[in-house]
Amino acid sequence: MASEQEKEKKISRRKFLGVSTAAAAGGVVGGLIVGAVGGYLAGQAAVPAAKTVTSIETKTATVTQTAATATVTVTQPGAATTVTQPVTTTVTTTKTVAPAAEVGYTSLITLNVNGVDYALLVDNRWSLADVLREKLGLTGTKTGCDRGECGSCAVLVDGVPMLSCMLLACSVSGRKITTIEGIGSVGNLDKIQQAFVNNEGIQCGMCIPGIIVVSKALLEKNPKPTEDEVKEALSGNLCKCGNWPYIVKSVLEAAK
Amino acid sequence: MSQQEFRLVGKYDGPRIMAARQAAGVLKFGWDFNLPNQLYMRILRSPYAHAKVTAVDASEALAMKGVRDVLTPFDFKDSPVRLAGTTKMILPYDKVRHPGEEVCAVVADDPYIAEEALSKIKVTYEPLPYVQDVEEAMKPDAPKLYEGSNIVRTPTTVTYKVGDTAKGFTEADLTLEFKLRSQTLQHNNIGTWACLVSLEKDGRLHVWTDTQYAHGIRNGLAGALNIPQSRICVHAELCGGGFGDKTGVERHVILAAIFSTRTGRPVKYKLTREDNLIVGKHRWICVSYLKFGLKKDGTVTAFEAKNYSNAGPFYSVSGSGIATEQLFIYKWPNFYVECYDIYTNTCTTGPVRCVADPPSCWFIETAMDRLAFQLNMDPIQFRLKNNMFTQGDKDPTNGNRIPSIGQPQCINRARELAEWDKKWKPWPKTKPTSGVVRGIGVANHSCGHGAGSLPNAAVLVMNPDGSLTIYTGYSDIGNAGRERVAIIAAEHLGLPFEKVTVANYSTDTGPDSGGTYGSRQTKSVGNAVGVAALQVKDQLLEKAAAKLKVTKEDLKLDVGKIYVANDPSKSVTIQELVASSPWIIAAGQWIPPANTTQRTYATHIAEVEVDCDTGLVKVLKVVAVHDIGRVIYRKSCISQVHGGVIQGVGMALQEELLFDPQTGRCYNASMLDHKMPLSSQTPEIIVDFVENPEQPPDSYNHGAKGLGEPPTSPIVPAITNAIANAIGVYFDSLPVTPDKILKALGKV
Repeated sequence: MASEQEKEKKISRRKFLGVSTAAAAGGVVGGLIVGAVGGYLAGQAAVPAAKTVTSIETKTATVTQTAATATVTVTQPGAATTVTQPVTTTVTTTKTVAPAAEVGYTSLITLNVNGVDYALLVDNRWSLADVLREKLGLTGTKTGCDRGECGSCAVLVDGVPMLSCMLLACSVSGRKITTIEGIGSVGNLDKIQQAFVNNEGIQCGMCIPGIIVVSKALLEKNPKPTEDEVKEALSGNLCKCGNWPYIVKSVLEAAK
Repeated sequence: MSQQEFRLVGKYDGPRIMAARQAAGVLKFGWDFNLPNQLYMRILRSPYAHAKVTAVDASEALAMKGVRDVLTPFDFKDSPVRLAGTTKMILPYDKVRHPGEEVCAVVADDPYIAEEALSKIKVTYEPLPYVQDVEEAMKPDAPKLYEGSNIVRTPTTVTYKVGDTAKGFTEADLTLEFKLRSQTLQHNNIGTWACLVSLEKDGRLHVWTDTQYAHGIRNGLAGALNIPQSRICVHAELCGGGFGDKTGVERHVILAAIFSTRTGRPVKYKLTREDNLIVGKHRWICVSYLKFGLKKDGTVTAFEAKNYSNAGPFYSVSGSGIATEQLFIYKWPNFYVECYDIYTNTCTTGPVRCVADPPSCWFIETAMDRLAFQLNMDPIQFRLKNNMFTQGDKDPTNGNRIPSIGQPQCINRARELAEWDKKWKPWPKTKPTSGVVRGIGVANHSCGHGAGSLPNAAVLVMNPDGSLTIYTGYSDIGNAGRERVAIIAAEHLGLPFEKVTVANYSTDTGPDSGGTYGSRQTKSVGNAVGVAALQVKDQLLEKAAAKLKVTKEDLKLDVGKIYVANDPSKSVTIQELVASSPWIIAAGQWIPPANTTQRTYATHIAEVEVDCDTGLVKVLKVVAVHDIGRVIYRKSCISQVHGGVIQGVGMALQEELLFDPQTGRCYNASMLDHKMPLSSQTPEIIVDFVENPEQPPDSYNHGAKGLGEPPTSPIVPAITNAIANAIGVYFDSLPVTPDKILKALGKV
């Protein structure tokens, strides 16, 4: 399945970054990641913005074009024209010059995400949440509302919990970002994550990354919170499964 | 079988299988999937509640850089596509019938470009008069959504009658009538519905989506596209909250599929929060006229009800289910109930956790409390006096057998846990004017569950190393159904929990098992898994009998082995049996026995504090006792009840989507203005279960009934009855917001 290829690609990109970050220990960012997925990427190499940063090594992920060259035997309801529309990579590449990638619409930013340095050319309209998810593949950060109401996209920005859907990526250049993936890994869970596992703290799990990120910040500031303090700290996070008794229990357990 | 004899059922206490990966943020929900070269879809929605669509000009949008394709209603004019089972068209070329209805769709290389393109599509509307109120819509001169009447169903199709209510009313000392109204609200799941559709190398459409029912999407999509079901594969990904919202195919999945075939590229879509609140399914607004004949000793002699449900602009699942709760808690000597579904220009309706039961439960249990109030009688005593259903009672509507009924046990246990007899005080004689007052309220509940008429199937395969894989239509919606069906199979087969795996569900890997909704995962799918497990057991015993040269009847299955009952030294391990041909494979189906009605029961008691100066209500403590047949995985059962109770707090006190009569539009479609209860609103919740197991042939899942939906129903009347107990006022509509309380107390 294609998502397996995706995974492969992400791992190799991280490896690449890890190496170049180590090499650029003096603060110089060694790698430029232009986009990550989707057709948006295809035309990047040719746009002016890329030329302005020619001194930086440019790595462009290979886009595997799923060309629909096979005859699609779908009886197309409502389609006025023929259904079979072969799309070739060439066509896509020449057409995909998003206005967003033109000079003046993009910013070259640096981010340190979970300890890894990134340099990114981002559309100025893109939120930090979208950049983390769609460009860096860190989909642990969830976007439940995309407008600062649900708390599931919370990340730590220089240690402070903030809603990544409400931050423009270009406004946090140079900052240190910690996402759920940076708090612990499956083989090495943070004590808060482990407490959620042990205490039935997760139902559907959509709100949990935001809640764990906020809880992490709470326990950094207040290692022994009371039940009311935990509830207050999490009052900006919504959980429709209504798992609050076990969520609060999990955070208190982690604070023991 | 007593609890002691179980090895895993009710005893397994390990974490959920996925919990560690979910806590680490690495498991993917529908919106987390990406494919190379994917397009992003956005949908243009109607600003009008009711309007003709006369023209669409999408040329400017199509000319934008990065925009790949646009679909308009007129693309479908020559070959209309309707969604099966509804009056919904893929894009409406005649007229839009509710605010937010899909009008056009666009795909672009970048989500932000797609969004921008929507503003470049010019749609010409011819606004029409609209109707929002259920009762207004029934009037002959009301604006019509379709040809003919706005009444979807006539009462003849859903009328229930027993005895003679006219006679019942003449026997009564008092006749009491109420008109009650429940609100509409949305699931508001944190994960709004997303999908990724791609034509893959096998020449088939693949859909990765967060769904409760992958086969439902597959079949609906195949019907809409007019292609064989086998040409589509739907992968059920993590759901981000279901609650009934993601049960079948919806327009956006079909639109994404059409775009994907037209462009040859994968198409990704997610409903925005606002879209989700306006165009997702909604709970029916219900209006109920209830009439009771009551004797002074507290017995009800006759009950009549007329229920009107707002079907919204399209007919899908019927709100007429509202009748059942009114008929399955108390055995009325005489009753007559009529139900109507009515079209209005408000919002799409459909199942929201417990479907029609939360309004229905609120109607009947508020009314029962008001009758007790009328007689100044303890509400629990009053309920006990009115013949609650007990084991052995039949379905009053058709005489069917009900396999398990635990209502009396629930109310007695809840009464004890809540210290009701100590805490309940009669209603205040005069309304309090200031300060904080307390009250306690009770409500019973009964709902159907299991949706047994849908397919319930599972395939079990013993692997050569002695482990077991279960293939079934199980969607991960956060209910721990995966663990529960694993426990059911492991218990039957003497396997450790760790040796049982439930395969990821896609329409390619599991049989259609009806989906994860209707409180059916443990009940109906669990039974199918149980049936298949018993077949596996039989095959194992047969092989063991041949090996040990005895008959099957001489053998017993224990953990990891089979031995001769009267000579335990003669035994064979499961592993030896499964590692050679014939391989152990079984496919099970559960079909509920004919002429049975599946019901589950509950009682909730709530204690509240009402601030008479601010009108704010704080729910302090809830006791929730559920009759669930058999507890399979205890801590997940408890968390289900917690969640249901907290959702019920929202329905009772704060959640309501409002439609502006001036513009026809929804004006609080945000999580701030349609707010679910917060962590700080969580009451103390005491959960207990009545185990009243069903037995074969009713059950092969160790006797369990459904629990997913019920906890969200009885909590609503329990809270409002507690408010009434505190301030002496019952409210005729939901939610009971501070303004209603202050008005009732004469403060505003």
